[in-house]
Amino acid sequence: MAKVIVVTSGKGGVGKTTTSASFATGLANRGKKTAVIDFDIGLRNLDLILGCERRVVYDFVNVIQGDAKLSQALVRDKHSENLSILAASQTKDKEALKEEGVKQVLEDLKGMDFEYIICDSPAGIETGALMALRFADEALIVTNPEVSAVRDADRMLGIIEAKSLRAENGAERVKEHLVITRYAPKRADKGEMLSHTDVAELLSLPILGLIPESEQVLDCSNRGTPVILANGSPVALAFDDMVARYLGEERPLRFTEPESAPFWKRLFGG
Amino acid sequence: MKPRRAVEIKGSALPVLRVVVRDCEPESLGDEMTAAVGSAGPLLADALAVLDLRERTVDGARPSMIVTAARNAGVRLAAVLLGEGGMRADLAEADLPIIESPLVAERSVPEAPEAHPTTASEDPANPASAGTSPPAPLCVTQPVRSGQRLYAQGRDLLVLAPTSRGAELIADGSIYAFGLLRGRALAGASGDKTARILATRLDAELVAVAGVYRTLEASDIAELGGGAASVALAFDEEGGERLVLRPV
Repeated sequence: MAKVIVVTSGKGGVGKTTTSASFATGLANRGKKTAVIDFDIGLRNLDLILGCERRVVYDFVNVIQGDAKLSQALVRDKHSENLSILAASQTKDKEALKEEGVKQVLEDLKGMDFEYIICDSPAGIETGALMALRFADEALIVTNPEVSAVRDADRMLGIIEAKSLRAENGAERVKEHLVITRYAPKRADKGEMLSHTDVAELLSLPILGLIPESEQVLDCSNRGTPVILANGSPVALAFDDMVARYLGEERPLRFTEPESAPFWKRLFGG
Repeated sequence: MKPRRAVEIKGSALPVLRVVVRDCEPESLGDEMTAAVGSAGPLLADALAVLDLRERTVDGARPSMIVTAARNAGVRLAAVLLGEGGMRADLAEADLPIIESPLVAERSVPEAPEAHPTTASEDPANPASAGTSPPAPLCVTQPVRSGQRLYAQGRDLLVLAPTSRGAELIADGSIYAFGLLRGRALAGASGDKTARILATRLDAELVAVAGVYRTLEASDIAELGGGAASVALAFDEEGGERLVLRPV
């Protein structure tokens, strides 16, 4: 049975789209047939981060409004053949996201044997965000280690528990996972940002992914490559850990401690 | 999804502040009102309030004067609460709804139901015996998130999970929080002055019992040592009430 996973945060700019792109790519590279949908109508980004913006002909709203077939609108990812992208509309209004239409698209994707359907939510708690979480089976809550992002994440968890279809039907709860991005262990150590344990405690959720702060994220976005493919970089390793944990592997958290200076630097006080 | 009706009537138990005015000389009324409103700070500025005149006896300032004084002090009044013989006519020109409601009697310790061991053991679900026992508390096992509000109507609230900043726990009875309590907690929401708040880790933003509230500063929390604490009303000889926080 296909799983619908919403990637959401409440606050903007915390790394939802970066997380969606890398998570979806990670699943696809492990042989899972995956689709990722951009719910940020009017402000689409996901296609840029996955480097497929030139190949988007039809979008999510076109499919909902019946102007195009789902198969026409799905874009095959250039990095992984198991991954398909459904881009958001850049011109339409977010009110174009009708519940019935979203439901139909998700059903059709399930009918096409997708195993994982990732819904990349816009920021805020309005239509787009509500539609992204409406049919979710699981949720990745993305937050940064600072109080306002954590409070918004907490609010978002409450909304998932009230407004998701599972909650309304009294079905099994939406399974929630915590993803902390832009983590800088050095600053957490100094008390300049919340530590990962603080965040997990504030939100009463276990950590699925702990993604270190890195310049690489921006570089990769500019090049249209999901950062999980930046071989050997700490961010890529952290996202790979996250995907592995999601699929049931036990992996200890990494990048929780500040990097110690290289040996020669310590020796010569560089 | 079912189409939602455009207009619906729903019940509610919104937290509204009460401005209680007891006997007061007309001359000092304005000053007392300003002082009370000033001490309430920003809490009152954003909130609706009802004017509670039920503890007032016939002497002193008239209801219409009190309404004017409250409005002059910047209180946004939604209604006036009057007890019996509360000079309704005097408020005819105040343009405010009047709620006639007798003072809630302080809850006495409920008498223990007569023991019927035989019936109880034979038929524990006997509705007759169930009717005499107090209602079971509303029990919450999931974290209470920012923006969520729980109301245990006519009973206690039992929270077996953390409560976040920005969440609100409301109970007509007492509140028991087994876990970190960070949001707001309002016990005795319908006026039960014997209600309490107990938390295994109290770090609330605001606590209230029977409408008497108190915001908690970092120093209050530090005094409690971040551990288990109770909040209850204490009464002095003149009938004044204040909230007492105690480590448990």
